[in-house]
Amino acid sequence: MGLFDEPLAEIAAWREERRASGELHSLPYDPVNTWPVESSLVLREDTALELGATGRSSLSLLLWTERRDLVPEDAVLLLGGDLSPQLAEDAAAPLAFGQLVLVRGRFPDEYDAYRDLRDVVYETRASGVSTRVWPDRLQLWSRVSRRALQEGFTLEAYGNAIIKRLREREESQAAQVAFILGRQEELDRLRPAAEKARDVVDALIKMYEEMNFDCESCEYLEVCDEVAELRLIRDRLKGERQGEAGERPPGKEGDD
Amino acid sequence: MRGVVAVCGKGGVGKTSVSALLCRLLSGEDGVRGLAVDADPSGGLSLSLGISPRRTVNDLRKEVISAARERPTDARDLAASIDYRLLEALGERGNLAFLAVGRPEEEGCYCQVNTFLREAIETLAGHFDLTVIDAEAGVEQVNRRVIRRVDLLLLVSDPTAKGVRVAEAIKGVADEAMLYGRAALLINRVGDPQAAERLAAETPLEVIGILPEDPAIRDFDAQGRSLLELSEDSPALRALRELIGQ
Repeated sequence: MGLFDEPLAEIAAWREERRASGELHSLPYDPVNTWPVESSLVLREDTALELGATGRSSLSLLLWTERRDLVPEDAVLLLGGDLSPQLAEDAAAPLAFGQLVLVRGRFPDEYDAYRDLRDVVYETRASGVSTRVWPDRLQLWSRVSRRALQEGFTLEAYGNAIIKRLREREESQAAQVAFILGRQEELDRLRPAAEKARDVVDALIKMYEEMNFDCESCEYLEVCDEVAELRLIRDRLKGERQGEAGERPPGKEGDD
Repeated sequence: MRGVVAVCGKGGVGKTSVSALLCRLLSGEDGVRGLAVDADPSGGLSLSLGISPRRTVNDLRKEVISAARERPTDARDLAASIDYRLLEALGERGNLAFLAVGRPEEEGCYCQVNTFLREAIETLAGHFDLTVIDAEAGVEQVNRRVIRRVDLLLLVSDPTAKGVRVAEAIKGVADEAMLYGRAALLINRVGDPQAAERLAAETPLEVIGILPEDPAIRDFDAQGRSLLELSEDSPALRALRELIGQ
């Protein structure tokens, strides 16, 4: 059982449902059709399309697993279509926007995996597009410039750019990037799974950053009780810390 | 003109007007982007430009600290959320963006948050052709809260010996407290050019130029109008344009 298998199973069920209904289009990964990566800042006057932003109108998520059934192959998934100059003309307000990055691989250390994969996603910034994420709120905000759109920027190309960078990591075996465009109800449907995953990440960060193993007073006790993998990580870390402090491992007191 | 300019000087010498005039020059340029940073807690630049900040950097700081207390976060996620909030806090008007620093922080040490905020502002400034910082007299605040290095420390004085002495003192502090490429004195609100030239001859500071007294600026201030709407005929604007041209 992996850290995110439960929320990933919910997302996979949603994916198959939407694929079956024909709403979700699965595009095979194309390493040639990508987009230049460069940090950009797009001002409002240069913005053709605004995606996501405040409150519940966006959803950003990164999950990983070892299970092939949850992330079967490399693909860009589009629900709600792709960007186009016509869409920019029609859209009067920011569009609801979701970006789900799902990775399959074998990662020896879960926290290193979180940091490494997250850095790849953060650093893959499309040229001519301002993208900002607010991780603890699961929020994502993008401004796509007129120039980028005129030059052919698409979510498909951006998804391919993210997959390309993720696949450069030795541990990764497959990656999918799902974009949900203009479909608030889909974001609402996925939010509970995303919040569950965020709680797992929070518990992971707390374990590694705070080094607090007083489980009875920890607000993530319930999360750890639900996710067996977190308990294993906690026990391993606890043993390591005690080893570093020169303490005896649990259960050895009074042996001599 | 490119880079980062910090506009400093004694209170009341017109540094906010000079900052706004620099922004006014930028606002008419095609393909050039400017960032105006109001680092003076009194918030005068916002009024002079007619751009309201959505939130100040100090508001962000408080929000970030409060959020970090609620949920565990690591350094990279914290920096990402600061980038997000900073972009959200920008006021915008055409090719000009505006950021207000707000009041100095209250008691308490949140070095990591302050460092991330400053780094985020530095990164933000890197996306603009020109960043103009309207600073209060103390340049230490610019260094600590806004940016570590400026290209031009523009010391503004009115045509008085007192104003020039304060500008000299500010440069003395800046020599110790911040990194800058060049420091230069601009004598503002000059009614008698000969008197201004005498002051210029007496100071050890490099004098970059003289701006004439401009009744239009006084009128705009009195009426609460944005200096971004100032006519091209404004004598001070014309003089500043010539200085930049040089």
